[in-house]
Amino acid sequence: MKNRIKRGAGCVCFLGLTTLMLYGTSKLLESKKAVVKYHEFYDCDTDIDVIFMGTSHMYNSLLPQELWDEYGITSYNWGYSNCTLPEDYYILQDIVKEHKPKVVVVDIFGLFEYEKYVNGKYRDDRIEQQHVQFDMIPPSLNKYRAMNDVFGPYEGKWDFMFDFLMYHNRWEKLKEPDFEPEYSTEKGAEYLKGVGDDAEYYRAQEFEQLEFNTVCAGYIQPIADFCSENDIELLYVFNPCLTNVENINAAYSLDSYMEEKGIAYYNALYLEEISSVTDFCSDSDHLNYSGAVKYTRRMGDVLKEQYGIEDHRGEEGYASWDESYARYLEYKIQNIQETENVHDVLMLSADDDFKVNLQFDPSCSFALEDTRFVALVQNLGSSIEVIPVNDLKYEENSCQILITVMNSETGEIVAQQGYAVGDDGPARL
Amino acid sequence: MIFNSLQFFAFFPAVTVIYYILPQKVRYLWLLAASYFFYMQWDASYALILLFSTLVTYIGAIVIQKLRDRQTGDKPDIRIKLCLAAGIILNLGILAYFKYADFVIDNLNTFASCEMKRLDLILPVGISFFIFQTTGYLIDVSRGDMKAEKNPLKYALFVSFFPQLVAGPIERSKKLLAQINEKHVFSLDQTREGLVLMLWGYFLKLCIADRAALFINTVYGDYETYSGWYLIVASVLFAFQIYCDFAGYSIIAMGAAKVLGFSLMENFDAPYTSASVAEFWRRWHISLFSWFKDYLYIPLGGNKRGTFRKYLNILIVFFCSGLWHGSQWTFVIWGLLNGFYQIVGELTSPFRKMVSDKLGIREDSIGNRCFKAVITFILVDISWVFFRIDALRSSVPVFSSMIHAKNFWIFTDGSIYEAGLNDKNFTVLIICLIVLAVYDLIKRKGIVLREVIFAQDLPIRWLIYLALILFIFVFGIYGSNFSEAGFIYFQF
Repeated sequence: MKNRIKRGAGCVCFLGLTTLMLYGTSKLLESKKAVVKYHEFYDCDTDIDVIFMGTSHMYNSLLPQELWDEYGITSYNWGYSNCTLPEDYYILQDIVKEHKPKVVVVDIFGLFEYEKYVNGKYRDDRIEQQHVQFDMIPPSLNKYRAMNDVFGPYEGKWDFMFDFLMYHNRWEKLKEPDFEPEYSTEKGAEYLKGVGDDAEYYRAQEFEQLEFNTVCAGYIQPIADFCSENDIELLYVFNPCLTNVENINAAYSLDSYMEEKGIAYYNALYLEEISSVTDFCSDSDHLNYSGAVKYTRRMGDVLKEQYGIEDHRGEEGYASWDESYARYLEYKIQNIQETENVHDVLMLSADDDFKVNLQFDPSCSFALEDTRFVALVQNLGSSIEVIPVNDLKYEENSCQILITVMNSETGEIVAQQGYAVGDDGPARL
Repeated sequence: MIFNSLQFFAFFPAVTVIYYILPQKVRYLWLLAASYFFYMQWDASYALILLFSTLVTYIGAIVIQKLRDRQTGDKPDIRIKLCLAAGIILNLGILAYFKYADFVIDNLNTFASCEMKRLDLILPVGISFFIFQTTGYLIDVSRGDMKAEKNPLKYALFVSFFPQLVAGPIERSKKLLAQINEKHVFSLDQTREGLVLMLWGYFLKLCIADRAALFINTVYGDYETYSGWYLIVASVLFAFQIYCDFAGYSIIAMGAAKVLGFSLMENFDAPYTSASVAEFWRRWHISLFSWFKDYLYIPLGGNKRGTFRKYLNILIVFFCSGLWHGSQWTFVIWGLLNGFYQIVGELTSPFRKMVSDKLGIREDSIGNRCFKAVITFILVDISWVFFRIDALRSSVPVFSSMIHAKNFWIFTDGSIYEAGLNDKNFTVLIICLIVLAVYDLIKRKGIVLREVIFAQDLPIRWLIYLALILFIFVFGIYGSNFSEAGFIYFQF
């Protein structure tokens, strides 16, 4: 009998060792994209009052760190590329167990563009994106339901419950970040660093009223019901973006649709302060950093005035948000320092954290005539000092444009870049 | 439900735990239900075919047994032979219908200018295995080698026992039926042995067979692009893919059965260490070839009716073996080629011995044994090409490409790593093959490696188990990045 107990205990120990070994290995092998993006959410030691959810138009356009800096609102961005309403529905149910917010803001883009996996219409290019959204969520009944509902007969759906099935063969791709991940400081968001889009930021004068009977639209009410049952305020938004006619019609049609349902909706598709010249990303229909800052301020006003979200700046227990913002500021400075393009430097400096000194050679026609350059200078408003200088030099080299970016609080120079303007435009020295 | 699926990892522990909780008397019923459930995961209608074969051979055996019991004197009762013949015809008839009907139609259309419509039948998985198993049982009863099983449910379990149902080993009724009637007590040692066997089987299947398949499928899928040395490497790897795939399955089956307290026969015994093709066929798919030996070769006269008849019998057996594997001429040629090898081997044996003696080569020297093993491997691997190609017409271009191979640079310029397997995975594959070679060489010496491991101290044992589990976990080919690779022998 004693021997049996001893051997039984041995089996249990062995199983425990095996489980630990496999768990540790799967954590090492798994893709770190989700960990990098959501580490600060799970590590947060305070309440998170607002959660943003939705597609890349949320992910790139609403910046929780700026919301903290200017409004003292604690928030996290759970948006990601191509994330559909069905996915948001299940993700929300899991993440509120971790941090129950006062307000959930859900991006309603893509009601007609996306379908969950149904009858073989799955898009392979989305698997990686969906893993970013689901990998941090531990196995649960809700995740099991999500797996079956959202992923349907997709053969790899069990990868979402047991992600080692997907990642076990990453052994051949392991790099330093797999061992020491660098967590994102953007609280789930990722602002876009480029500027320049030739598309028109179209303000609809009239629109076609649409019917909303798509699969995605079928989750509008369930999300609303969940929020209502859990005492969470819900706000659907249509974020500023450059998009097609169908989506424009959708944005405006939703006004009456949501009103009938009694669901709060904010049509932010067209905002006057947003400019297609300065605020959209190159090669994309998404807001860039400058546009995201403006939109975040708009959302901050809405959250403060309409939802009464508190300002936690200076409160005891919220020091970690200031520490996090300090790391975020270093990240912003690094981005400015690494940027080659003169337009991008000006765009990334459009922030209360920075003051810009722009010196230019008066004979440089680019500085005076390039529409985007001029608009980006104007975009900086009172944060920029513009000085014409003859025989301008940067590190003893002749240049036509010299941009100095300083920390607006300390006056410390954080970046300085000189540009020589040739036939191909400005080139960084 | 295949052994390397999530469903099986949930199914098997659940079946095992409930099996040992239930009273002894009803355990076989639980196993029977589990086995049918297992089989029906492929297609519920397959269970009808399984049931039909079970009924036909159960009733046939009972009738034959009754006739044997009433038999007086030494003169065999003709009715026994008639009953046996009827049972075999009905039973093999199912196999013939599902497996060969379309083959016959295609050949009639091609060679006899008929215009018959194909039936497009789907071959129920494992049919070749359980039909042979039940046929063997019927013959055993008719020979008096064993008594007919009276309990229909126990007999049904013998036919459908899930570890070996879909890809063997083809068990003999004497061995497996007896075990169904035995008492099975849970034993940690037995469970440990079963699980270690399963681990080794998964290593063979997931780390070697399915990894090699990534390269082989790329090359054979487009052999015009991947010609010459690509094909040679793929063909060599195919020998290991089919070995590890099939042996892997058999070993997992053995392990799963062992956990449940059953002992299944060994199906592979280090076949690539063989010094002749004849020896290879004593070490490869042992259950099938022993079946053919006992139920076809010996009844045909074996080697007792002269040399010519012996060679003819060999060709008949290998012809049937080829057909058993598949209803295509490629399999028939594969089978006949192996039969031909054995005949030529035997015919040239005196000459080869004379040459060895003249050259002073000792029969048992390592060099001589290695040389023979390499030659045997080459001969067997040539026949595997027929096994792998999709159609007979591909054989000429494939062999021609290999014979005229000039693109040796694929090994030096890195091209070989662009045909489905990159350099890292090739390295892992080679390491795995070295481990397999060492294992088989040790086995050939009569050493059972798992017993050596079990004799070690606990820390060493655990280290080995954990290392094997971790290796399979990390380097196994599974998950959605690779489609769940079925076992090659399921198609038979």
